[in-house]
Amino acid sequence: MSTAAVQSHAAIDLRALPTAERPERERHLRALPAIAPRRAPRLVHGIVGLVGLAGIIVAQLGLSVVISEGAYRLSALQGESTSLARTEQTLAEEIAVLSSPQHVAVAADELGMLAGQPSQFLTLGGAVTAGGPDALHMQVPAVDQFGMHVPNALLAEAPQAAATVQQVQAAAVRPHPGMLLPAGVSAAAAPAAAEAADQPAPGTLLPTTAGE
Amino acid sequence: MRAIEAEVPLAVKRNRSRNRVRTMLVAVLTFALLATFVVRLADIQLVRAEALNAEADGRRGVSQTIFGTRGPIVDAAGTVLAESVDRWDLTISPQYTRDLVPEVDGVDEAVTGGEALERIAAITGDDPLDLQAMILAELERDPESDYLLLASGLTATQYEAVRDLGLPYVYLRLNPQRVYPAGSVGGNLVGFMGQSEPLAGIERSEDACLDAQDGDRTFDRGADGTPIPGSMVTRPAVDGGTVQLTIDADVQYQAQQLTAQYTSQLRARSGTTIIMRTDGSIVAVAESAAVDPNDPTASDQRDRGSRAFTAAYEPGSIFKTFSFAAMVDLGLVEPTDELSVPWTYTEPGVRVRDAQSHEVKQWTAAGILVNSSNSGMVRLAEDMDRADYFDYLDRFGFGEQSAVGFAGEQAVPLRDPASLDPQTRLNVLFGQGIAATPIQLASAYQAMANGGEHLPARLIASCTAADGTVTTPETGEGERVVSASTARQTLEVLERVVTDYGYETFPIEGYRIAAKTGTAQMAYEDGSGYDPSRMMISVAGVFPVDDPQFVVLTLFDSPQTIRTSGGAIPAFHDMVNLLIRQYDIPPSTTPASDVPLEWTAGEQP
Repeated sequence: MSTAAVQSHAAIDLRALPTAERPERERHLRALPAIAPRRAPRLVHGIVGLVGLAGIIVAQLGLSVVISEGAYRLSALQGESTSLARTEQTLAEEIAVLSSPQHVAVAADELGMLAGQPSQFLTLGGAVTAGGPDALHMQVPAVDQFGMHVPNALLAEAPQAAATVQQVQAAAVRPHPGMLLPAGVSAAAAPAAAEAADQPAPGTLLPTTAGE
Repeated sequence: MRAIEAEVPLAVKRNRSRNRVRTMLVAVLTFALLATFVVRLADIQLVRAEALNAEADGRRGVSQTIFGTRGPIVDAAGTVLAESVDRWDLTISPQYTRDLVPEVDGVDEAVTGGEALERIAAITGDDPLDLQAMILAELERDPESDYLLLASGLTATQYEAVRDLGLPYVYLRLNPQRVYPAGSVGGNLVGFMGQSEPLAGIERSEDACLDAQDGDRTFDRGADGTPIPGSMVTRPAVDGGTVQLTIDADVQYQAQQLTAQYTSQLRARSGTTIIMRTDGSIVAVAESAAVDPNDPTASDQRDRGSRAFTAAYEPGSIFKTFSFAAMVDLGLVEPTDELSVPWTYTEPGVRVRDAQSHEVKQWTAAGILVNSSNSGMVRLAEDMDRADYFDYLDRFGFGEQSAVGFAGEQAVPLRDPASLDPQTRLNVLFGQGIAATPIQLASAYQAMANGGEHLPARLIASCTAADGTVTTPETGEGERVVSASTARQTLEVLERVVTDYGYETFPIEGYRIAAKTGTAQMAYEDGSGYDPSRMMISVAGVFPVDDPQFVVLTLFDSPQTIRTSGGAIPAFHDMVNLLIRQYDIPPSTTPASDVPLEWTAGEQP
């Protein structure tokens, strides 16, 4: 005890020596500054943090809702566009049938129209040139008892025209091989007096005055 | 140390054990959470893997085909002759065809299977019992069948009506179809489609231009079928291109009408008319009977093609134009050369006769051609080397396919002139022993109309791809066959056929028309001789002679009422009339040709 106490005492004593007696040494040790007492975090920060987080989440939700809504709207509009395109195509098909030459010919026949006359040519002297086309078959109706010479299966979709074709065919007797034609009718030239009510014999050439 | 130890307060000891407890608690909780995850993972990946995979398969990316539209075929003015339209197939799932109950199937009112079929039948125009029978038959064949085609070719209105029925076991599939708005106008040229590919005509030969390429669209689908945004990948379809033909649909319609009328009037087997411009472009090719591509099965098998391109035959007298032109061009013959022509020509091993017997006639070379004298032609050609003659025929375009390259077109090769037997050596001068298709004949007359220069026949003007690029077919260069003066002289001789043949219906007042008639015998298929019951009457012509614009060729196979070529003359007359009216061709201002046909002994040659 004595030696240790003396030593410790000596150590203590050493430490207790006044500063001036120790050899000059820089002090490496400094006392820590006094710590400010820790305060609890302010409520504001927490609220701001939470609100910001909530805001971000809400914004993201909102955006995806809007995008999804947009997708549904887009889908609806595309559906509408497709259905309008279908309507357009249906109408275009109807127009194609109505403007087909067969329908035009049948409709013109019903209205009693005649085929157009050829142009007349004048010489510089003012005289009308002699001659010109004098078609043997210029005024032939599009539909006769044989049906249409240049048929169109699509005409069945234009009911009025189809009905006309069937009417004309039903009205005449279909010629069959071996059927006796009325006497006096030749295949070369038909009599000029062909009334509208008379059906010309099958195969006769209609004169140019027919139908006028 | 003990002193330090003695200083640890009791509170710290309690803290430490509390810490340990907390740590243990957290560790336990963490491990529990981990274990839950592991169990769930095992459950998904191992236990329920198959079921989940199956469910996911249905909800993965959906792929839809975007159909490209097959390109249209239009005429020179833009009139549509063929186009593609949307049609739908009605397919049904037989195993799921059931009565619909409002609660289970989400429909507003109950719909029994029978009612549903009745509604469908009312829209498609079928018999509901037929539909039911089809479904039952399919179920008998395969009780788990999921696909049956009930009806096809539904239009857009029908499609929307079926879709509005809201039947979950019905599926409508888009299946575009080809439609031909003009019907049988140009039907033999345009051709028609089979189930999925073209079978004839321009549809077939120009398929490379017309065909469309399908695209597709893949996307992920939401639970109610709406595509999820951002997931769509589209590969666009490429539409087919437009094929523009040189024909004029108006003239084609009227020419077809005339051909059909005359064919039925003459009681002929068939009729063909070709109208061509002098630059080789085809205005119309009319066939009777024509095929309506909307309904090809309504026509006879033989009528579904185009005889103008495929039916080769021995042309007969209309071929004399070319032998005459060859002789004039070679300088062997002048149209005013004078001959005495008996009606037969007989040498050892050969015999040639005119169509009608006559006394010895004093005909000029022009007269021989106009009167269509076979023995006269033989006499004129005594000095002509057949090799030279066949060289001319080759340049006229005989012996090879026309430049059109129509589907099924025949190329009838010329025989070797050195290998001909003596009779055939003479027969080829007046169109026997040699075969040609009508298009070759028309194209050769085009050379005569074009001042002796043969241009390739053209049917297709251009192909316009969907992106706008225009390609014109390569047809090669023209070729000079005879000199311009030879062509002019020949046409002037042929003009006398029209004015002097003796048929009232041949000439048209005010217009100079050159034409040649022909009655051709048709050989048996096996080549054992000529069929006495068949003949081909034909008229080929060029007009106006002073400024040729059109070539018209009209033929009728085996007419019953008038069996000479005079039967085709009214048809030719009407075709020329049609062209004059359509194109406002003014009358000729130059006087008609006055090439002498006969001579009398004592006159100055």
